[in-house]
Amino acid sequence: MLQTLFDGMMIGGIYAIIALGLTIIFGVMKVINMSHGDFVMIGMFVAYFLFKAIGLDPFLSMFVAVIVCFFIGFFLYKFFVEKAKKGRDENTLLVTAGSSIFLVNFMALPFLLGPNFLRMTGENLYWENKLWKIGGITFNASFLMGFIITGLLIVILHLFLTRTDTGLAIRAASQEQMAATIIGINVSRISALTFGLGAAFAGIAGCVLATTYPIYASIGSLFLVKAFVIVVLGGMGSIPGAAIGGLILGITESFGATYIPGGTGYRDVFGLILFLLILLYRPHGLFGKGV
Amino acid sequence: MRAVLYTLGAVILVGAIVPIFADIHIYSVVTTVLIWIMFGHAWNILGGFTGQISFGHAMFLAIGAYSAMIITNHLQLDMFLTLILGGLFAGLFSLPIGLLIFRLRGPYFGLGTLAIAEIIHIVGRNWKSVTNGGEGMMLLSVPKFLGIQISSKDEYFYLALILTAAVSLFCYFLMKSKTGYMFIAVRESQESAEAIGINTILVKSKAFFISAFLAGFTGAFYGLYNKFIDPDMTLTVSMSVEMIFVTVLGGIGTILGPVIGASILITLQEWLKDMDVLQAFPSLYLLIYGLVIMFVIVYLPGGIVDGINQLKERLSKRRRRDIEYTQSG
Amino acid sequence: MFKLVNRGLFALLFSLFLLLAGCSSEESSSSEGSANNGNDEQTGTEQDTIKIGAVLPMTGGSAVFGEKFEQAYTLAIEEINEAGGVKGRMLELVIEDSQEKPDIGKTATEKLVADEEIMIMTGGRSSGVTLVQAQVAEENKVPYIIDHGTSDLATMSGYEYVFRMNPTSGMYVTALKDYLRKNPPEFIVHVNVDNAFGEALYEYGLKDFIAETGFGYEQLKYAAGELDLKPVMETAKSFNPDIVLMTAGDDNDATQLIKAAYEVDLNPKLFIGTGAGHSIIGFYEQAGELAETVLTAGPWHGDKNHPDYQKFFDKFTERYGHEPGEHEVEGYAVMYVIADVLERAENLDRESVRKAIEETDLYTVFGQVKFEDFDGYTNQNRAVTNIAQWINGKLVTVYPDEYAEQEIIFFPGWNR
Repeated sequence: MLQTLFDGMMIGGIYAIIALGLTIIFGVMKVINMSHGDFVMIGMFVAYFLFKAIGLDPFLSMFVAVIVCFFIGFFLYKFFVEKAKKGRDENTLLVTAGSSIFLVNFMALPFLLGPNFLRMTGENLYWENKLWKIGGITFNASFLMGFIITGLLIVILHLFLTRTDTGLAIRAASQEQMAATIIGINVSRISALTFGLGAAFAGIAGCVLATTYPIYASIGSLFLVKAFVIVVLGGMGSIPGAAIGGLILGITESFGATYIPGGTGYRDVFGLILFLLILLYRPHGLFGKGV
Repeated sequence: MRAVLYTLGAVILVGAIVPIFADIHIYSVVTTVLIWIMFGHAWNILGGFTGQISFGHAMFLAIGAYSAMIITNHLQLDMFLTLILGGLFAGLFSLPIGLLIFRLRGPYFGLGTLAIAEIIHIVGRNWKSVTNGGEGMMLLSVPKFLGIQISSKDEYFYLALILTAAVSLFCYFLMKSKTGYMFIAVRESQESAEAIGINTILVKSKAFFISAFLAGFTGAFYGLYNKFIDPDMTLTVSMSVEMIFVTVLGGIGTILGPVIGASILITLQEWLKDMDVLQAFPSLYLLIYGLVIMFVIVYLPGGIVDGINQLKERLSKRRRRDIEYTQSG
Repeated sequence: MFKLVNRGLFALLFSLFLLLAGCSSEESSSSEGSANNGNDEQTGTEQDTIKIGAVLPMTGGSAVFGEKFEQAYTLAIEEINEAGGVKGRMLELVIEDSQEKPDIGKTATEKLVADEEIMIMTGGRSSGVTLVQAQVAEENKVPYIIDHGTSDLATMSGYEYVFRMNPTSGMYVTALKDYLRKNPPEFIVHVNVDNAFGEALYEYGLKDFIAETGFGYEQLKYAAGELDLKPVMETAKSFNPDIVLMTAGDDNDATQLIKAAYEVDLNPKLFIGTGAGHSIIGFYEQAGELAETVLTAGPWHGDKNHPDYQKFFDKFTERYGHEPGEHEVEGYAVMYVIADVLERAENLDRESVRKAIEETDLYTVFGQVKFEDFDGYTNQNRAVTNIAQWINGKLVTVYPDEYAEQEIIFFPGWNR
């Protein structure tokens, strides 16, 4: 029982990192980013590539992945999403869905990921099948690290948003774009920055996952719906909401699949039902202030 | 009445010209285009005209497809009836869902439909006794449409053509009717619609029913045409998104949008797949396909129909200017 | 009103035009190609090839398997062509991408069928695409030899033009059932994938067997591609099984399963995979040490000591930098079957080719290939199945005894 709870929390911690990225993007510019999962894949690729090339530990590759994903996200916003925003709401959705097709098939080119299922393995990889036993509970070492990183990221993000000028500008832009423009905030630049930041979070999650999960071009789609679920669960744009929502989803899935008879085949249904209930009874999420 | 004549003309034209060029592959591509035109119309009624963006229309497609396969395999009803029933089941299914989630607005509505569609997807994979699970379901008998056997490629093509014309005309006249104007009123502003006494829940339910009916109807045809269905070709998010693609790229909220969007998107993919330049790497054609979609949305935000209109306007403006110029000069 | 309709006609015509432009450009490009060939080079080069069509997933999540088949086909065809081709003509391979989606696969198959120079088809890969390809092949009377797709229905529907070289899902466990009868287990937990392969394997392979033998059996389903399989294995552990049967569609799932078993400390007497994901080198490459002593019950991949096999093995490994496994053996073998069929065909038309396939009786690297009607199947090869075990990174046949290279080693428990 306790083991299942912790298993759920660990996986939920990683869901939370992915959802954090999605939620800040949504909070600031009300864009539903359909290519968010693909940034997780890019993060995984960076970790894999650096490990193969120079034996870099995935938790150090994270810093590179953050930069790579940030810039791809930044330019995706500048060149496409921002222009699509001038049209109807669904245009941004479709432009990101189009970019998802593009990114998946771009990464499937033979000199990048190719069609293969790759896996980080090697003598010098500390995290491969590494378990930490703490008080009778077994932890997947890299997921536990991921969990700690989630905590750190939330603190850093909070400090960034409340203590720095850029952070304050992001918050201003998320509340009232027009007013933000009037007081001299460059909303376009702030939006691009936020989009890149959101993508960078997905990249971090990719590095954590790279040690345990296979790495292939279309893996991102597996995380997309989960990230949506969490973002709505916690309230669109809410940072603590995304963190708690991630944990709730992870725990619900673990318990549902383990303890409900025949539940293994219906694993994802439990989270979705929870999602619907929240949507119906608290449409602004558990922590939403109203969007 | 003109619309009917023009549609009839177009049907005769397509029906006469395509068979001249067509081999089995071209029939296949054209039929796929026609199917996606109908899916686009279905999504457009709710998403384009009533302003409720759904990410979960694949569930109606699947309900239509599965009921059509089961009906044809076990009851051997006439295909016309089968398609109507497929649509009806999907339409009826939409009613409780509508009541549940119509209180949600904007992106929340989309995410709600997405969640329900995903739940149906997982149920579809696991509910073996009805859907035969992941193994899928084969068409075991040859259906008859109003007594005419439908089996070969050209038979499916002509039927698809007639159905597409019928669905297009239906949508055209629906949007000319009072109900259609109410849809648009709700899209433009729910508050104002309510203020002038429109029961928005009822109007949205109507739109949802019709939209789901058409998706189920087309889904039924899609299932019978493919002669095989499984959860992954009917219930995935990508099927729902594809419906949005064909509509928005063509022109959301227009009758012609899905027609043009589907024609271009489906043929574009086939065309790219065949281009010699893109054979160097297997994923190259889809890479370009994704890029084209991004560019079209960025540079033609109102869709292709809107793009053509703007072009025409610009041309006529120039002509007018030319005339004015010559007159003044 | 007039403007709207006017606009409508314009747009309809425009889209029609585009459609035709798309289609006719396809046609004209191919006819131009042949015309050029005919005029510039020696006359009739186009005539000299015999085309073989294959529908494969070249993009999307299963593209890795499409690539494996492409490599195997290409190698076999090159060898056959170097040895003088078939009836003095060269073989030519035409691959169409299915994206592993049945509806796209249908259009892709129809594209192959439309090319009248294509004499015979193979490929398919996933169960869904294979079924659709089989339907289209039957409708259009194009011979189709399935080399990997396992859906039982494809050779259970009485199709005349559809043949299958590999065993069906239900047949994968033939050797395993034999083994279990002789060594009755106490309790089997079957961790099964919810796709066509897993379901058919249970439906046509295990269902009657379990009912008949009365073995303790529990099936746990998981979604194909699911990454977090810990809850499934946790549940499996609660049954305290002595045999954990695992069905995985690809090496990813197979690896995630064994990783999860390791994490929850599940220690049965035997871990048995059912071919597919568990029988390819990718499984060992990904799972590493965790794959040690895992068994896999599935098609027997030919006699590895046979000189033909070793020649193929060396050549393939040298050429592509990785060892051939289940897919590559099947792909390589099917091209030799096709070459043999075409050689024996009276005329080069689809009907004669179909007749020639019926008479096939050929030894390949995949074993003997002969299409027969039995147990409700038609045109189905009685492919041999076996049980093999991962030992020191190699698959070693351990059952049945006549092919066994060594004895089964029981799972020693996780060394955590």
